Amino acid sequence: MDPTLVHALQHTLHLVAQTAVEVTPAADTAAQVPLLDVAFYAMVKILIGLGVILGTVSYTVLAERKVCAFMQDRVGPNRTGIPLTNIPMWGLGQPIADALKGLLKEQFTPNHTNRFFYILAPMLAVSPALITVCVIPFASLTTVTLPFEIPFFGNVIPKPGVIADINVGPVFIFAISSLTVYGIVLAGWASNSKFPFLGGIRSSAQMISYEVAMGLSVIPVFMVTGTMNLSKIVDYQYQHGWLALPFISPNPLDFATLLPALMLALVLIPAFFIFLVSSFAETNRMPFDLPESEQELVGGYNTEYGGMRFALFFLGEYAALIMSSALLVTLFFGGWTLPFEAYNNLAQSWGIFGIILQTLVFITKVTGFILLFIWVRWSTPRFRYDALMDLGWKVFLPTSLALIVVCGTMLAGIQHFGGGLKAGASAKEKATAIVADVSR
Amino acid sequence: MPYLAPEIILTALAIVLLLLEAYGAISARSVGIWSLVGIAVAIVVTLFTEVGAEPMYFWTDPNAAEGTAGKGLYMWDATARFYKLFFLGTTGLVIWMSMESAAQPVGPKTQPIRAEFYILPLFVAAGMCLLASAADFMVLFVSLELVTITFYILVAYQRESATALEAGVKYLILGGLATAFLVMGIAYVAGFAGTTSFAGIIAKYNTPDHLPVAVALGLLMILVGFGFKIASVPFHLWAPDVYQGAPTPITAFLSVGSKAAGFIVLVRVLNEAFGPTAYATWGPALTAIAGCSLVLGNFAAMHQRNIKRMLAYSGVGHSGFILMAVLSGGVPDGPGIAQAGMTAVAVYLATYFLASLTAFLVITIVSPTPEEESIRSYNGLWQRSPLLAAALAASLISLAGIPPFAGFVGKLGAFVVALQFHHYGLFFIAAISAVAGLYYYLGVVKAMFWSEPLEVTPIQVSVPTQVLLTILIFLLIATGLCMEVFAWLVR
Amino acid sequence: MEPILFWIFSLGMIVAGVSVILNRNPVAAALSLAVTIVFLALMFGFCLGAWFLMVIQVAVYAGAVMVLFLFIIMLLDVKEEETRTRSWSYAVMGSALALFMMCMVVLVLRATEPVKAAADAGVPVDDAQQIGTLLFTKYLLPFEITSVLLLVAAIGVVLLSLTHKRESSS
Repeated sequence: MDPTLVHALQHTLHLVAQTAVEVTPAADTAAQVPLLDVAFYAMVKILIGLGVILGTVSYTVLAERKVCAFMQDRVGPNRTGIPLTNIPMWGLGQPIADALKGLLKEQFTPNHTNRFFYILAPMLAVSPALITVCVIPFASLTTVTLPFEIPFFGNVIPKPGVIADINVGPVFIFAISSLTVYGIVLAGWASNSKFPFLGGIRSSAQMISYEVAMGLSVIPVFMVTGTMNLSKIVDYQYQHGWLALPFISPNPLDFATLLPALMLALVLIPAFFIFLVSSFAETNRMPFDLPESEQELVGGYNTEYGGMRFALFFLGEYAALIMSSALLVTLFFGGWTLPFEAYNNLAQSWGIFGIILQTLVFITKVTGFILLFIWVRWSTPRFRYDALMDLGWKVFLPTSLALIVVCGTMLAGIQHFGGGLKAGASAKEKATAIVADVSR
Repeated sequence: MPYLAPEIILTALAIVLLLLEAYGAISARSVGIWSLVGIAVAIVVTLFTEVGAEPMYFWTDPNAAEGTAGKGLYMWDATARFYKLFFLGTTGLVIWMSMESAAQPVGPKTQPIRAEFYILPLFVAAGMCLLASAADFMVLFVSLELVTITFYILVAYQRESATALEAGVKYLILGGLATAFLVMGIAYVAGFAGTTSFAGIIAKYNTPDHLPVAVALGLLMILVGFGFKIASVPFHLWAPDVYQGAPTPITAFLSVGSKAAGFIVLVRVLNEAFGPTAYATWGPALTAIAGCSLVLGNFAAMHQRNIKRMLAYSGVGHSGFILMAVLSGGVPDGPGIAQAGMTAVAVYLATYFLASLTAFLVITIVSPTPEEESIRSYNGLWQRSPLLAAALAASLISLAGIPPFAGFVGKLGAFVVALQFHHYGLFFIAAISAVAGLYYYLGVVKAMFWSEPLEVTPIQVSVPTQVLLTILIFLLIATGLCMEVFAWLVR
Repeated sequence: MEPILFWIFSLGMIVAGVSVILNRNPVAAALSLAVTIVFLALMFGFCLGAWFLMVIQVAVYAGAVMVLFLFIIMLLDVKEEETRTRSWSYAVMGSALALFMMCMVVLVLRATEPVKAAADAGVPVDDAQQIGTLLFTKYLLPFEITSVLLLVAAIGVVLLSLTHKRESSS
């Protein structure tokens, strides 16, 4: 290869690497790995993450159609198989056909639209969901060594289980996914047509309303685990039992830890429920699909779109669904962990293969939630608009605020009576140190 | 009594009343009465709370020995107590006026007075009490916003009439601009001083050198923010339209409460956060502002036909007089503002409080609708209601600063301070403006006693209000005759 | 790396900020403002190490406040701005004022040494924890006042937007 090109490439990677390290301030193990390697593996992880998400999206669409058909006692897509042959494969080739259809259609732009925003909107709708992938931990963070050499970039992968291990993971996801609404609102407005406009307005009101309840409902999780770092939340759940299912812990019969966990579950399970229902609303899924209700609005904000641009909206919606499922699993159902010590230490014993196995377990859990989303979609009727707003503002918002208060009271009680759940004293010392530090 | 008690009482009462009213357990009028009771309790609590000098946090600092002590957020000194009583009294009278105006017949486009109209002033009072005690820019800013935002709501209350809407929009937009200046100024000062506490800032910048440019710029921007609150030229543009469009009780609240709130934070910041060296920065700026306010306020008031507009311009003029008393800093090694200046400000505000609120109470009764706010409606008021005419005359003469009445004491204090600190030019301008003030105040008095009334129907005044008016007239004269009262108040 | 990112973000902010002013289409102006906010947030995160602040900035301003702006612009269908002719006197006055402010800021910054940010001082920052601790200890009082402020704002919105029936004189 041309040496100047290699140099330029290395320089670019170096820049990315520094950023990656800055994103992970507590990089104790990563500190020994050369920056260049960190950057290289970060890029590899990004590519794999995107590939997995996009692949999952296309098969989620297929699953939606199949499950729907099953529930309505139909067959569903079953013809498309391996391309250029006649082998049907239970319709597993359908996503490829759909994608090709989207790509090959004419990119038609109606005359009455505001062209720039019309083209911008689908891009804005799809990107947030894809960006949020980078903070979800899908496997152990133990540094692993590849069994083979890769030219230029060592074979040590720091933090293989996550792309960016930042301390504000869930809040980052909320922040980025709150930008999704721009795509939808702009699509509605730029189409310059009344049904899309109504869809856009409905959607922005709905998403802003439910963001509030959603954000408040995860605060008990932060309070219980004492961190906003998703990997640490997962670690906590491995040690103390899953937040929504406290029995699933390595030693479920130890009452000293189980009792407080059960008490906290009284708060965390309602919090999980609010989060789950808000996720339905945030992803514009049934029973909250008012922005795109066919019967009233033709197609909602995407009525004037066709071809790949329409497919991008579709893609964004399903990517958001997958990210919601992943977040639900990470926050309430133990993330990639299972309650077995040997499994959780697979990264040490099996190296990269352990990581892959853990990732597969994570994907399996996420699939469970995706199926739940599909099941709900095909079995519930749509909400009325005022009922939707009532539920968000008058039921979920006060309930999640009350949950925060109850959770704080419980934690204080547990600390006081020595449940051994939290290191109370050290937290207090830390707080004192921070105040002293800042008021220097 | 614990510190922070008045604020907590007011806020808690406001929330309880809101809930009671929301569930229909209590009528709007009884909400008003309960609000008055709450104010009275808060006044008693304030009177019985000992003065403590150290600013405090409401959190025990484990590192108190290591240097965070004495840099608290909230202080309860004699000044704080005086201004708290001032604000509580103002709020009480404003709620009284609101109840008085609720008893008046409503016009076709007037909103009826609802319970929130009595409850929101309680929040304003809590915010103003906090302002009186602020020892840190954080508390100062959020409390000032609490006051300002509540006023946005109250000013636009009669939103179906065009003048009220105009008033609301003007107050909102110019208030937002002033807040932007204030917060940017605070950001400059805090960014360079490394702290938001007054004690920390003065510890850093009370040196014989000049202020750093950035801090001086920050201070000037803060003064712009406060200049809006006290309605001084050139930040007075909102005052006439907002005073005219707002409901009369709220106009009274703006003209007394909001102005005094602006002055307490002004003297606090200049006195506690900046030392005598900062005078080189703010002295000339405030001198110019004071001069312009005196001239423009008093001369523009002469040509007003609407009594609320007239009082708005005269209020601008009063800001000028009070600023004259503020301009008493710059003594090397002295405080930011001399004790004489602080006292003069407090006395002037106390006399202004009595006179202005009496005037607005009469206006509430005589001018229930915007059409009756012209000065011509006051022709021959003596024949329609001698008590109202006497009260308005007493308050206007007091505002003009004629000897037997309270206002004279206030003006005297301001003039003495100006002479003491060698502001001869300002003294001269103020003297001319005071004479101009006589013209328009006495014009109204003349109309009330020596002009033929437009209509002769007598005006009914309820018995409690008659008693209140009598007390106010008595106080206007008594405090003017016996200045010792002020010495006791400011102690 | 930090200086490079700083220049990228500030360039983005300036371009987006200028486009807020110059855009005739209110929707485009609002979007440009959102872009400015996002760049500012990135600057908090990547140049100061204040990740929590970055995320909150995006969530609150870009994700909620600007969406409401956009919502209202669309609902009211604001089009007047597009048909209005540009006034040169305003442009000249505005530019002069902006230039004046810029000179002022430059002078100020040249004359004074600002306080160092925590990230520069080499202190590892967990700003979520720091902000939280300070809010609930040292700055508890202003924090609580803020809650009253928000309550008042909510009451005000309801009071001013409510269309209440005229009560019969009771």
